[in-house]
Amino acid sequence: MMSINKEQFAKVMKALRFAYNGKEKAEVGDMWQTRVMGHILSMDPYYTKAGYFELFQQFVWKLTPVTFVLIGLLGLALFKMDFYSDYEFTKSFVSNSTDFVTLAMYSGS
Amino acid sequence: MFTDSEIVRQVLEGNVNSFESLMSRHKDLVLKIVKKHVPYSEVEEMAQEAFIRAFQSLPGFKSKGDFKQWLASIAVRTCYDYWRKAYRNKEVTMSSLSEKHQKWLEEVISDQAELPFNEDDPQKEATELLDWAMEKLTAEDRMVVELIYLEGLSGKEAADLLGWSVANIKVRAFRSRNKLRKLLKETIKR
Repeated sequence: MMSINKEQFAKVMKALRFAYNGKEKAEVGDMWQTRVMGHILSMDPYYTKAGYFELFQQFVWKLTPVTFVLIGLLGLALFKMDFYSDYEFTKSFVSNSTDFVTLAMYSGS
Repeated sequence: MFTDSEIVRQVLEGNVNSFESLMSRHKDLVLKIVKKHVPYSEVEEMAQEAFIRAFQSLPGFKSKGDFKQWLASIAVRTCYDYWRKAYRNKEVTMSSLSEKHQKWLEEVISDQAELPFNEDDPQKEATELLDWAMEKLTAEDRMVVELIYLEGLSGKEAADLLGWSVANIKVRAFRSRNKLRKLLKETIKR
């Protein structure tokens, strides 16, 4: 039973590399370029639309990491903060209870 | 003689026929890339697909960038998408190995033997063994093995072509190399 050590594996990879590079010799037909160009010309009316869509897609995907960071920060902020009702929130700023009752009367709470 | 960027600008301004000069200039590059990555029967179609994608993505091409590099990246990603689709639809034909492949492999790894062929005349066994091994890898691993180990690109170059991070390429290269080694080991053990 044989196994492959590092040097032997390098040898196999070298041999496979030769085989891989041999693939390069394939050729395409003469009419290929004309056919591709014909296809491109036939899609011309949709070109601008497709182009803008492509740009939009690129833009949206580039914003994805930023969106996730913002969602994370917002989640963290909500987790750290307690929820206050308007009443309690105002109370926390007005230390004097008399002032607070007066304020509450005028603000309609 | 217009530069690539100038021709791109002409196409974007509505002169779509100018795209043909870009095709003439860079057809060989695209074909060279595609021929290496997809089966022979798919070469023409994938090269066409790469040029169509390039045409559709022209508004996103930065005029100061290297058009050749940009186009090469589109061609490589087209090939990658071909394999992703083929694996997803289970269209990848699973070939099998025979004793002659095993024998070839044993000859190559034996200390005495020189490579049983030269670069201009790759043996059929080697090509079939390579195809067999590639079929066993995922689309991602296949692309990394081909770009890094068979074409000899650096991690950065492969990352630029595939649009992945260098770290991702390095991790995949390490894993896929081990997978490949394991596959070859199992072939010999048969």
